[in-house]
Amino acid sequence: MNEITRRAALGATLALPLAAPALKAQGLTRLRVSVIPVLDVAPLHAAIAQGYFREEGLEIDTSTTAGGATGLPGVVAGQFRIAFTNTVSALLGVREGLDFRFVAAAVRSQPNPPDTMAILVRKGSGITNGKGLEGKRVASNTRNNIVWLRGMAWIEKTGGDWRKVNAVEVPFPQMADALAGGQIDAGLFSEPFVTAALQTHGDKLERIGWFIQETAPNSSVAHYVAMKEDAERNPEIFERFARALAKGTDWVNARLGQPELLELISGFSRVPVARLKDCAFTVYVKQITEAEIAEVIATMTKFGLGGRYPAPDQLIFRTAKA
Amino acid sequence: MRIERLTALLPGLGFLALLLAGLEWAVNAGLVRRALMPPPTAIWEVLSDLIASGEVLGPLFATLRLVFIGFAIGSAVGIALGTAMGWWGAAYRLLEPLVEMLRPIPKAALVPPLMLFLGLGDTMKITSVSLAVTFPVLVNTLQGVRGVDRVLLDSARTHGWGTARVLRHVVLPAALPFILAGMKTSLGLALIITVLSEMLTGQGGLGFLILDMQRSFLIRQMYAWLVILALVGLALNAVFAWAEGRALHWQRRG
Amino acid sequence: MRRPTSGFWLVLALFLLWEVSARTGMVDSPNWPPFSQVLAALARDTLSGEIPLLVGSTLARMFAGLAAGTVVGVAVGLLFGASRLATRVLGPTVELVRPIPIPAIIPPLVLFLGLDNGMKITIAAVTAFFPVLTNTAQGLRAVEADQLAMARTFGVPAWRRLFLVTLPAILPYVMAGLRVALALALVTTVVAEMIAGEQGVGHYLVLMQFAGRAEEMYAAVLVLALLGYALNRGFLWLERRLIGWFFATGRDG
Repeated sequence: MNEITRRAALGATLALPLAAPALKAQGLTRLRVSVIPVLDVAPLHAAIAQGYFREEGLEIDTSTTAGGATGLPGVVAGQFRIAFTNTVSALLGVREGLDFRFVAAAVRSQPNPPDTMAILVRKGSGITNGKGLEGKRVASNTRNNIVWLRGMAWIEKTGGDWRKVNAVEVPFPQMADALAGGQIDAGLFSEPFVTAALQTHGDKLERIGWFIQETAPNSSVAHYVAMKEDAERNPEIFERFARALAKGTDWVNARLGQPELLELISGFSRVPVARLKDCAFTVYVKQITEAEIAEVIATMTKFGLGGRYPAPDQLIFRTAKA
Repeated sequence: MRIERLTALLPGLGFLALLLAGLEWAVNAGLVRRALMPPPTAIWEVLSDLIASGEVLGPLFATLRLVFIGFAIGSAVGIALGTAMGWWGAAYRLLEPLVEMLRPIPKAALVPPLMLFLGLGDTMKITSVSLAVTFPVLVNTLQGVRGVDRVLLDSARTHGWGTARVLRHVVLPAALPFILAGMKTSLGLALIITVLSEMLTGQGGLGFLILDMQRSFLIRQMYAWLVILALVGLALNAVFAWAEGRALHWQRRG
Repeated sequence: MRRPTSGFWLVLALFLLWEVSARTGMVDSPNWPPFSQVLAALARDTLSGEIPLLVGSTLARMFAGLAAGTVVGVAVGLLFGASRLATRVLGPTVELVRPIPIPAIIPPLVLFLGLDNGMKITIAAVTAFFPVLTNTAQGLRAVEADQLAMARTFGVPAWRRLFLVTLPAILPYVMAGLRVALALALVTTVVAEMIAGEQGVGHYLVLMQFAGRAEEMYAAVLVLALLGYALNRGFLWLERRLIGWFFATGRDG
């Protein structure tokens, strides 16, 4: 609650420009970073809490966007220096002429189950694979993002034709109710909503697959993105950011499943700790490979999001490279 | 007459054309980022494709359907409750505190809780829109009914008219201008709440598509759908103004 | 104080029904917390300072937008009221933009102004602009005939005429537009907060919905209801203070 109050206070301060200079008192470079309240941004919050950014002379001001939206438009508008975003959304922007660059790594899918993303259906619906989903309504939180893409890939891999599936959007918090209530026939869930759905609707819902892990283990899920211009002009800022974030990643990886980490996540996501205990986690990584970006582009092309993309090598800024 | 009206429109249309041409030039000259604001001709291309392929129809009807049904239900409830409250003191005393409590809630705030109960389908959206529409209509109807000339009422009563007949032939026609004013306010609100609920539920019509296209960085498509929505707003206002004129005309004669 | 009417008891009964239905499991849903818990959440987050800060930031943005929209709306309204040519040239563009439902311009606006104050203040300003514009232009035409002609005959220079005669005379009309704008601006500011960024009561509402914390979500709805009520009351008070003369003398003028 304290963390939240601090952030709220910060928000109010921003509303009053006169009070702003107080923040700059320590001579830190202030970076506004757009995040989504999901488990994947734990390293960023850990690095803030542990003072790793401060050691690098950075003051991180996180801005949380609820819902399926990412903060990318805010990066375009120059409001955020960095945004946490799924790989597909960033690449779509690049395709449309917005020069995003991956400046730091965040998460990849698990090599083995359980993974953070799972496809759920109603018990007794008889649906077990993509073939069974043809002509049915399948929900992702947003279309044309990583969840949607991997969901379609899973349908294809398990014998279905993704074009015959009726893809709809349902925000994660509503997905369990929508599925149990019969408004959709399958949901592409992300943690902590997988756990929440099975806790509250366990008698009605069941998991039929881990759609990312089964179609693309160890694949790119989400990373931190900045504008190319900014990265090239101020490389040392992004170097410092990536270094501090990497320390945060180490901190998180050393505490997987431990109460300390769950407290931290509960703090920024506001999801109760009890629910987080049963959650699956992603793989927190420190580098982005050309191969993983190339794989996402290839998959996007296969599922109707093709176009002219720059070579992966150009899209990964050196701060994120291995 | 017709020609005069057209010539009156000329300066305005000329200005609009100039504005679009200026924008086209600014984008092509690199003064505006093309990725954020494509030239109007590029938007027009997408727009004409959407129309020619008929792709526009599904989302268009989805949105119009919500607006119409929500507006109709909300107006009916508002007129019924407003009339009851204006006519019977007991109904007023019973409902007034509740109305005063619910009325100031910005109806947009009710969309998230309603999503939890009614799900993401049309039921939820229509309920949200109806709620937004009800209150302005209700309050205006109440005002209108209360303002009906006592002399008219007394003379109707002396003719031995029953309540239903008085309401139908005296009260409602007299309150009509108020009711229509309330409905006019509500129409704008109905469109706002429709678009919002489409955005928040991520399904259906024009509002959803505008947000969805932005998230996918399909910027030309986003503007094309926005133009369509603007035309919908324009058409709805025009239809309402026409209907209002007809209704008031009928009221004066009746 | 009014004597409690049947309506008061109805409201009380509904709240009681809410409480009982949630406690006894008549409605068994994590989305339906007892009313007392909603009040508790409201009290908790109010005392912790979170809700007052959120309300403050929402109001600050809304009023900033209202102020900007009103100034521009009055200026353009005066232009429209004074010049038939201006109306003819600019009018159609304004009429074309006016019916666009405000939430729909948030996605494109975000690309240019981002997700924070600039975008949200602009949204509130656009909301206020149209009703103020319409009312100003109407007001000017209404008062122009008598008062302005009189001022002109007394040889008051144009700019002084604007501040001393025109603006006070059309104030009631501007206020009428502002009253519409105020209610709408609260809606659109909250909508903008719900759709983009992480500020204000609107974002809190959606965040709590997302986190599955129903008590806080309803608390936010209550806060917004109170806010709507207080704003309306405050405006009525202001209107009476500022233009009481209009209502007092309006009829015999």
